[in-house]
Amino acid sequence: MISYTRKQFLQSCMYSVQTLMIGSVIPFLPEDVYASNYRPALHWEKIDKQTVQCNLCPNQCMLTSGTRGLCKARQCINGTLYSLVYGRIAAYHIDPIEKKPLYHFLPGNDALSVATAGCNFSCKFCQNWQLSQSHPEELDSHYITPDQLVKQAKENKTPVIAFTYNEPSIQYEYIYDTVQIAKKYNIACVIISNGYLNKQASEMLYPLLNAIKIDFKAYSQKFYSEICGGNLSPVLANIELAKKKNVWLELVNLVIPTLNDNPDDIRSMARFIKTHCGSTTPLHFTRFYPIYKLKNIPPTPVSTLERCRDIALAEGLKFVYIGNVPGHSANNTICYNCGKPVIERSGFYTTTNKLKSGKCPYCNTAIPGIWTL
Amino acid sequence: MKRNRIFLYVSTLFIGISASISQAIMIRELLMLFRGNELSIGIIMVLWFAGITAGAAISRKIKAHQFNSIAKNILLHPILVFISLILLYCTPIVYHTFGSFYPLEVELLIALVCLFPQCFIVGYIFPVLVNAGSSVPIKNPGTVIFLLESLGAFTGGIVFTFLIIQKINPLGTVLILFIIARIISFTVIQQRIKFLAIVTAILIAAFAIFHSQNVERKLLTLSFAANHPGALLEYRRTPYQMMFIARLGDTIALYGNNNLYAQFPDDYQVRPIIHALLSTGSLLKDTDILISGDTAFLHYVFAYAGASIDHVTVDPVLWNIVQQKFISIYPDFPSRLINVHYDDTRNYLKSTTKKYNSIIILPPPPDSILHNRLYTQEFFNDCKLHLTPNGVCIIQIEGFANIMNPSLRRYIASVINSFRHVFPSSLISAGDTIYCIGFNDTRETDVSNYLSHYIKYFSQSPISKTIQSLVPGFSPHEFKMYFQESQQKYLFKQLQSEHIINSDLLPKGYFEYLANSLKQTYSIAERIITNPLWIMLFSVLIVIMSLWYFKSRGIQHIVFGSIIFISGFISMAAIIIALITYQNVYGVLYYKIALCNALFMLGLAIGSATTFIQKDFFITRIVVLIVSVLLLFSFTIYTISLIFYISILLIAASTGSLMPLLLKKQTDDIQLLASTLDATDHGGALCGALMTPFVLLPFFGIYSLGILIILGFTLILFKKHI
Repeated sequence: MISYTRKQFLQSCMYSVQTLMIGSVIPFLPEDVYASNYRPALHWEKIDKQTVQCNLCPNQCMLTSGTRGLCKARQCINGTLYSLVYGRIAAYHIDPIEKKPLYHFLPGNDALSVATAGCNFSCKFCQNWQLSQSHPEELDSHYITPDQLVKQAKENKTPVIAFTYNEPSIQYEYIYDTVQIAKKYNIACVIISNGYLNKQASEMLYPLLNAIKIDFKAYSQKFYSEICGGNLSPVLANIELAKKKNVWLELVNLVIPTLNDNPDDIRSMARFIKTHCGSTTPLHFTRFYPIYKLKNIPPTPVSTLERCRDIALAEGLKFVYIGNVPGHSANNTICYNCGKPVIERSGFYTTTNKLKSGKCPYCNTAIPGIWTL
Repeated sequence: MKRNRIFLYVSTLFIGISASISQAIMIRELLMLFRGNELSIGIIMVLWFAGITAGAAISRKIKAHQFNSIAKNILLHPILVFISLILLYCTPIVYHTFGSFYPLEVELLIALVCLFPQCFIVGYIFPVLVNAGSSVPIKNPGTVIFLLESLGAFTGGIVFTFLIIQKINPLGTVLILFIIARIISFTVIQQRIKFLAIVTAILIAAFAIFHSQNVERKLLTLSFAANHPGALLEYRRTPYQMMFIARLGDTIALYGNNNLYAQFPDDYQVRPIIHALLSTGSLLKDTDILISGDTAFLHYVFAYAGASIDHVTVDPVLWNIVQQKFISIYPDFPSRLINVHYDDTRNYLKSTTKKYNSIIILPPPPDSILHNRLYTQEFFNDCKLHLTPNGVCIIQIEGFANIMNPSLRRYIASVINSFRHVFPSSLISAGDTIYCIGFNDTRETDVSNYLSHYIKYFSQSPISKTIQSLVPGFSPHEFKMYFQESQQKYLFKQLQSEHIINSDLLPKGYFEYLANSLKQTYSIAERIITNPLWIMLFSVLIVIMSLWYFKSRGIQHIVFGSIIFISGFISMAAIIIALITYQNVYGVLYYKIALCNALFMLGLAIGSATTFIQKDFFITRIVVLIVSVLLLFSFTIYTISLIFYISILLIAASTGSLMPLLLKKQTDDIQLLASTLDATDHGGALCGALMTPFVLLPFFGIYSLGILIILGFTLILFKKHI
């Protein structure tokens, strides 16, 4: 049974009143009552007795005791930084890997996809806003240990665990532990990330992963700061780093009419990718649909996506896809040497995979990717 | 003296007309800026009544120059409305919300700035007019002024609905009101009418009216450019909505009341519907299909494949635009093969006996009662009645991305439960958009068998070649992505815990959808407004403040004020419920708002006229009120429009008769009593406007009328005090 001090009792009362009146749970959590379920976080430093600085992501939140970071997932409790989302899984699905989208990574396989609450961005077009913009306490969640998660992946015969939907790096400690167990069971781990992580943290995590998909939201600082609540330069640095660490990397750009479809920016993005990641790094231009805070913007015209793809191809990228447009021919993987389709997709699913040992069956050209584990 | 009396009558009539026309204009224009649903109307009404309440409460006796004061106020009203309109048009140019809507706090602020001053004048002037009436003198000045103001409002409503709405833009309308006010005011402010001054003022205003269209166009174009992608091609005010048509790349986007409705071509958006219909085994050729929704590609494909298509749309302008733009993209669009019915979908189904092989319903999300009525159990029943024995009904609803919060869960559950209740044999997909296929007969609904059968059937079907030639890259395998196993398991697990139904009488789907939409704004106002406790607390606060404010005026003011407060509450709540009920039955209402308002005002006028009779008939009036609320409830069952109109008229007449009746009881300081009663009337209406959409309707739906009947009975308790 939990025993309360007077202070905790008063805090609980405030919390109850707040929940009743505002319908939300924010900062009045009685700290020590729940702390037993929290995990000490990685990547932070103590500033003074009651203040810490989180160094996980470029937000670098300075937190006094009882306060949380912008991500809502890390809290300072009595001068120690804790992760509030360790194993606190709020979304759990088995998705085709193509849905992530990862097109050059074990095509045709399923990924056990998990997510927690919170995010270090606040994108106005977030499809998963219910996860990303919630506090952990606001969502129904289940505690799943890293060990259990890996076992469940095995039981479900999913060769991949994907940390996805919200920004996975905010559950850094959990991913770090899971990845090491998964390796023993030959289960691949991938993250579907915004790439907003500090160098020290990404250098420690990226080499352990099998693949990373980074949302390259725009080649524009203005877009990152006004629409996403972040900065461009750390994302660029992480894209570069992922490639350096030899993790399989795919990039996604959600094209939103007017906000990030400027041809010059698309060209700069393609040039950056070619220069720093190589011409064979897959780039997906995906179609925006009105959602969350951008409900009054029409879906991206398919011709805009095709124009973006043409620009990227002209800049020398070899695998440029169009996403969220089922049935479009640019969903398929085309051999860059002979121009023939080697993997055909319909919606989220691979319908034909003609690759032979990762090579084009027509001209024997190696198609970069992770085709088997 | 006679001249003063005429001036008083004309001014009173004018302020009624001006207030009623301004209200209709402001509602329409604010809806364009806001979300365009009942919540917006709620905000507008609350602030409207708050302004009148404040104006009436503050109104003090003016001993000297009271006619000058009246003249200045009636002149000030259209000026304030004009300024409000300009502010309203300029706000989105200055404060951008690209692709989204304003937070609730900002909406409240805009509505406050635009509405409060003009409503303050309307509230302030009533007691002054009553007092001026007593000094002219007029017998029963309270009754006469109330009667004339109500008649003015009635006239304004009628003129707006049948004359102004399609002919003159809002700025022009307000300028006309200004000219009339100027003419009326000249007769008092200046003893010698300066002909030249009048002519100059009229000429300037006429010049402004002439150019108001250009001014409006420029302001709206700037505002559109600041908040939407693409370029505004044109805008049109139809009786149903304000349409914006914009070009974005090689597509055309349509906005109704500033909400994105559709984008053309919509060939990729509607592919799942093509799958859904083909998966049912439809061969399309020689089948009858009913389509409701802003789409064109479906018509194109199905008509080409040989189906006979009935398309139902309420707004002819909307369909003409769709057709025109689609023909420019697909020159071979088979318009002649499509029978268009300009009607509300529910009305159409009620009026036809035709049976369809397929009914496809693609309404906008249920963010208003108007749209929600295409998601209710009653509507699905109507659809079922019009299906052939092996017919299918297909709907799409906004779904979830990976998880659901409680509001989203309840909204989705209420709609799916309603659908499955009507179509026990049905197939439900899961994901961002949920597709529901309901079978009139019993079919295989195991997903994997169903999908395998579709893939097999499609490859052998004679229709496959036609479809693949019209829809590039079309493959039946694609349909599988909408039935992802874990998403389906999650959806059905969530549905198990929710048994609610979305019905006309208790539109749970609408309220939950609205709550979920509001949640996305993360505003304090949203948290307050969606929490019934706050609303109740606020209403109690208004009651306490009213009691405190009027206690110094004596016990009579408290008693009379209480009667009027309760009747104001009942009338407002009943009208909101009536409008929602009307929408449920007949669909689009907004173009009739001014008419309903006019009818209500006519009721008030009739009610006040009945107080010329010597005897009080207090109990009779309350009984009429209770009966009229019961009558309104019967409208939900019998759906006869005459019942609706009679009940509105009776509610207004019975509640509207109370204020003149009580004013009759006072001979000295009638302005003070008029101030109390006008303030409490609108204070009650304010609480009604708050409590009804945010507390009563979400919990009790249309059954809230029962609470109004109980409140009506409490009025009888006051009999001994009057």
